[in-house]
Amino acid sequence: MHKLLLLLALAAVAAPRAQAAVPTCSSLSFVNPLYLEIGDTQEQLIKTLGAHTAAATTPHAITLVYRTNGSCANLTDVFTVPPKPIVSGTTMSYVLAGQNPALASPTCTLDAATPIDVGNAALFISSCAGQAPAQPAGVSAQQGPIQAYTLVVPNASSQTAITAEEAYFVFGFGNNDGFNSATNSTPLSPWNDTAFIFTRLSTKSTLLTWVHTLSQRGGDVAGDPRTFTPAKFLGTALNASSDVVGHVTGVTGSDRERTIGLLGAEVYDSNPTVLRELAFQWFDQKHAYFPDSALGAKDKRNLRDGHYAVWSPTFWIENVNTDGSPTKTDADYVINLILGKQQQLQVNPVDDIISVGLVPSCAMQVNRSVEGGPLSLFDPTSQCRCYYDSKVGTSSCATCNASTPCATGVCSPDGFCEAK
Amino acid sequence: MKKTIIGLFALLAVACGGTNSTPVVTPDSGTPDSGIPDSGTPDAGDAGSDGGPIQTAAGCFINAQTSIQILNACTDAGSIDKAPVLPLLQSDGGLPPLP
Repeated sequence: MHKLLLLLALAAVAAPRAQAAVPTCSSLSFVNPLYLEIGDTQEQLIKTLGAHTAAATTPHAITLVYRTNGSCANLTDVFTVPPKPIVSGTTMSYVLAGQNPALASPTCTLDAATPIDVGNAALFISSCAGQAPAQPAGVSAQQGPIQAYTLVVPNASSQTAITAEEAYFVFGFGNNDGFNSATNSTPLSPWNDTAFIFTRLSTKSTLLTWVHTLSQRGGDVAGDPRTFTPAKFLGTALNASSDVVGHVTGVTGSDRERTIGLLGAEVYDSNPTVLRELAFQWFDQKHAYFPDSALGAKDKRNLRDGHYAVWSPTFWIENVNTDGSPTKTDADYVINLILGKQQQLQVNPVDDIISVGLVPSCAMQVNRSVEGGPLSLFDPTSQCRCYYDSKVGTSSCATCNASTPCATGVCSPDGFCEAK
Repeated sequence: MKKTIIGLFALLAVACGGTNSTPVVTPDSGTPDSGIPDSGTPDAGDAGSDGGPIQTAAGCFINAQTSIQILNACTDAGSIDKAPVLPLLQSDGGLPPLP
């Protein structure tokens, strides 16, 4: 009996050590490692793309080693002169060839300070003014795919939509939104208790995009002044998207009706059975829309054609020489993949971008120049709208090839008659 | 059909000298969110080539050009109507300053 207790005690002591055994990154001998610091909304893209770059032989395999962090914190690291490295002891995630992007990435611990090869912000860089230094010489920032942001409630909630005005009061006034249940038969909204409002930290693109979206009128007229700031955005500010998922889904009983959270749309897309996405009606809009053409669709149609207004471009950052050439070829190569430039047949980056719920610029019909700013028509010179639709199962475009030219438009390399 | 309607109203707009006006047209179907009878979805690629924007009787826009028109362009995508009670909204419909 004593021996058994002793063995159990030893096992109890040994178990945490075995669990905590994370290898050092240098011990893993990565093939052509590339170190990235990204927003956590971009993790699915990096996991999906990294599984392909690690397996590619042309030009060569590249291992993506990444950490997630707030967009503005990332910009601070890469825009500081000299750039801040990732410090020794940081836990990094890495992507193996063929890795299932639905699973968590394996991790390692940096055993030396390591320069960031690719930085990322999932919002307009100007939105981090005051938090991050200005972009210095020697650093290139290129606009990548479009990221949608959304509001979610527990799947058991009866709520289906929210207007911008309503959201202004929910996040700006919290418990003091003016609703008096004793005198109003129709509630302002169920979201009038900040204990059940789950947001993100002030460095995070998810929060900042909503802050700017609710500060703009959104239309063509000069409107309300920008009154929202992260500090005035009420609720429990959480570090990671997964924390929001955990808190929103962790609420029970009637409190679920009072619960709301901020997420990147792709995070919602990964959790549709436990969360419900709210349709959103921006200022000056007449109806509320989902990012997709309907709840449960995966086509991002309303985002692409301008009916869903809560989105921001992602930016991808690398170091460049004085002549503008990249200082690290592999970093430039991977950024070009993220920008949707197919550089070799082994990796079709547009497929990866679409599969994780991002929208390549070539599939967009609208654009904007500032966070939460008005929309304008977008007509890129090289389009992939038909190809995008074909990947999400909604294309009605004509197909083409060398012997069957397009009646109108141009035949894209993917075999669709695109307008341009 | 769409181009015919757009073309007629583009001519009407020019004839009236109202290049900045937004003519109102009653779509064939007359149902909200189906203001483009032919395709059901606005096509940004047509903008500017077939004429100016047209607001349908349902209130949506064909050939949307500006941000507000784009937000309210005709579509057959699913939408939800919501009119929440907002006790703190100002009498002119404006938002009060944040506390």
